[in-house]
Amino acid sequence: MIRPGLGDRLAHDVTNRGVTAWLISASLFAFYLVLYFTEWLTPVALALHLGSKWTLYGTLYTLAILLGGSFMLRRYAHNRYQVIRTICVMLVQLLFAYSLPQFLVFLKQPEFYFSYLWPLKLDYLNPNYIFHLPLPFILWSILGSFLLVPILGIFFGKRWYCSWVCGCGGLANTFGEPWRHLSSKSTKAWRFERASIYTVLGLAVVLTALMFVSYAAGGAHPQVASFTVKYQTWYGLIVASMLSGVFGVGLYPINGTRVWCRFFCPMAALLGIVQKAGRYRITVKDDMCISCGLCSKYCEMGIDVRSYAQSNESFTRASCVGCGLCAEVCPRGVLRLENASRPAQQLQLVQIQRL
Amino acid sequence: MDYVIVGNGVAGITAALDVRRRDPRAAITVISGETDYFFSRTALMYSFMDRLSRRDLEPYERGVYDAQRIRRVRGWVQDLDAHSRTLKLDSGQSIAWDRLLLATGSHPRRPDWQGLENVRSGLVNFVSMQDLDACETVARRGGKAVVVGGGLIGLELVECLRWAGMEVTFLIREPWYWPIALNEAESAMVIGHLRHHGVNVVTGEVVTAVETDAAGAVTGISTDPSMTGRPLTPNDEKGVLARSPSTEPRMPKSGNAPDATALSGSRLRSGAFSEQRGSRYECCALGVSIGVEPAIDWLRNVSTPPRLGRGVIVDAGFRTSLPSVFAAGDCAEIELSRRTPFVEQIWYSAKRQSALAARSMLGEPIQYEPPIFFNSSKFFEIEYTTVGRFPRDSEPTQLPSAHEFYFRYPGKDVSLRIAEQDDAVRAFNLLGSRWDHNQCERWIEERRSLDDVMDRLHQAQFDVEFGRLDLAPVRAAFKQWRAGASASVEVTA
Repeated sequence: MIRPGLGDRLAHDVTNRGVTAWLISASLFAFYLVLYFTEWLTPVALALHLGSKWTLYGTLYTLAILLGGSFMLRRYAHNRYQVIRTICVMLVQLLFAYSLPQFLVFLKQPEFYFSYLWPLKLDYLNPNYIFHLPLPFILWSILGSFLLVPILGIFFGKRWYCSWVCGCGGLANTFGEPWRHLSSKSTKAWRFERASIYTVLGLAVVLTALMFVSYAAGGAHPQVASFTVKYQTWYGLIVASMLSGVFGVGLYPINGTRVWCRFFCPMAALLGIVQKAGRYRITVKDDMCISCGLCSKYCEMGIDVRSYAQSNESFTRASCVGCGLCAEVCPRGVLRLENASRPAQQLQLVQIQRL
Repeated sequence: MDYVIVGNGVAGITAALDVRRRDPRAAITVISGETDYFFSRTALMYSFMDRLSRRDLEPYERGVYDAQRIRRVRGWVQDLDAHSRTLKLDSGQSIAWDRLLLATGSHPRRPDWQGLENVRSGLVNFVSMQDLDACETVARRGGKAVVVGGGLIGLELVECLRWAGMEVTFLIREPWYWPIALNEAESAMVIGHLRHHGVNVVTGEVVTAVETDAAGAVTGISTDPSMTGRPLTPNDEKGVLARSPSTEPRMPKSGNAPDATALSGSRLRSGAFSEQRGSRYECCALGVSIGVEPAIDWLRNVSTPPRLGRGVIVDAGFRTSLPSVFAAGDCAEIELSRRTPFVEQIWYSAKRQSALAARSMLGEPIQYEPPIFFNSSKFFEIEYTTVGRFPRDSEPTQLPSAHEFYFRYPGKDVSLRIAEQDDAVRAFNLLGSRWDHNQCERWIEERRSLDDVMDRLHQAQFDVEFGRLDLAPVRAAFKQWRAGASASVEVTA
């Protein structure tokens, strides 16, 4: 029997926080701890002629996205948005986050990831690092963060990055797909999300400012420079290693795939603010929602989509990454992702109805 | 002021929240015998299929009821006394009210088959939480299942039991699936899709008896070959027909012949069942879904019964015949001037009615006007949107001024049917792609011509991005049809 779309996830131990899920989670934790804090993987990488443990990690990561992506493509073959988005995510990973950086190294150029931008990668706006790169890299970094992000964000919402380009989102939407429903939909989680994600963004902005200050000050204020280095080390340890790697991926089988993206990613926070001001929205058809809750259940960002759908409210939430699964699972076709400007006539009608 | 609401379904809870929104000081009590918390009945099937947990069926976080100061009482109401303004529960508890809303919903209609009174287990349905329990118990055993009744809940049962790995026979008494909503070609497309999913679809057979074992578990059903159904129309007041001997010629059965993809059940192995119509179907799970009716039986023997018809009879302000007693949702039968009384049993109508009933209870003058009809559903993977009423549904004979344009995409389970009468579009039946019913409603309200609607059809498309249905074939077929080629265009690959 053909069964496209969602399967019987709650019946499976792996996808419903069973023993196996906990074991997978523990293994992922162990893997990331070993990767970040030991050199045990280095001999493995060398034996495989992969140069370093980071190349090994990149290879595994890319394989996970490609395998998970083919699974996505099969499962959602009937949904062209999902097909195109998944192909895009797979290609970006394979080309920009895996092959191109290695090719650059081969060309004796800096190992540069064009698919990552500040504030996800703070180094790309760290004067001590970026100003030592050739000009095109500097331009890409600065224009990317300050032109590309806001402009694309205004027109398409944060999805152009979070569910089409980003490697973290890429892993979540491919390899992590079977666990997407495990995100918490509670109001409590939402409250925590708003506090945590803007805190990390604040920390990232302050750190970047400090890096500029210490760069400008040069040797004049050694205490600023040493404080910045300490701050940078702690930020790298807690945010980059622990929150994005160890917890972000380790918790996939327990709390869903977007723990990092939803609660901690500074890039997502920034894009979310742009998204709120932009065109992107989820349109809700009036009075067609049957409150079944599939949209909320399968929202990886823990948005209670149903609460908007059942009250006939089209909406834009800062956290929405535009993966489109809510629209896919809705049995009544109530939801649609949109970023076209509304026709004037339709706007008028909306206003009249509100009066 | 004490507001008491009987029933915690979508009507009851919508009304409770609406009273709270408008009157912060009201004391609100919701009584239910079924569950502690409001849940989405329409999603029972997704819980069965392990896509949602039972807790996920609840549309609101549990804390909402305390935060909104809505008192929940568990129990079945035994008595209603409008003089003393009290209710009595099965526990003996008495509850006083100043305004009472009856929102008890509906329950499945019970057929009059022989042997049904002996059944203790094996019946499945998707109306109450208790149905979900029963369904899970029965399906766990596997084996054969029969689902009787050609409506939406019937199809949900078929999908679920098939998902659970049972061999499912779908018995439809009418000549084709869901004639109240689909025409023969649309039905053939849906039935083809069901067969593709391994469902054994049998049309035009009428069940007469249920067989059970000594313990009362269902073992099979029998059908009578001499009886046949005719398509239901909204004019069939009870929704279900009295059985009629087959005097009229049978409707053509195109698309209904068993084919290779049909389930290889015992009936298929024994030969073509289209010739040996009427006999016995073995099953350990029996889904009976021949419609629902207002759940008002409990009101017949209370101290002060309100006026009852098919449902609790209410006026345009949802007032029953009893003072300060209101009714809304599936259980209400609405009497408006210049209209035959009607019952609306759809999720959105329950929401609209109860929101208005809440305002009526608060003393606002309310005049209910039912909206242009619309609905949606999903037959396995085929999505379905309907808006408006097809002219022939409400008229005994097809009016000469009414036309229908029908088009099916070659080789796809996608079709459109649009009716036009007196140069204005009246109804849409859209299968296999997504449409914005709000836009279709507006076109009907504005009395747009079919040509006009065809020109701007893309404005109502609601498919996912990059997945928009190409409308060029529809428009080409429409031109041809307008040129008078045929009354209905059907292209099949």
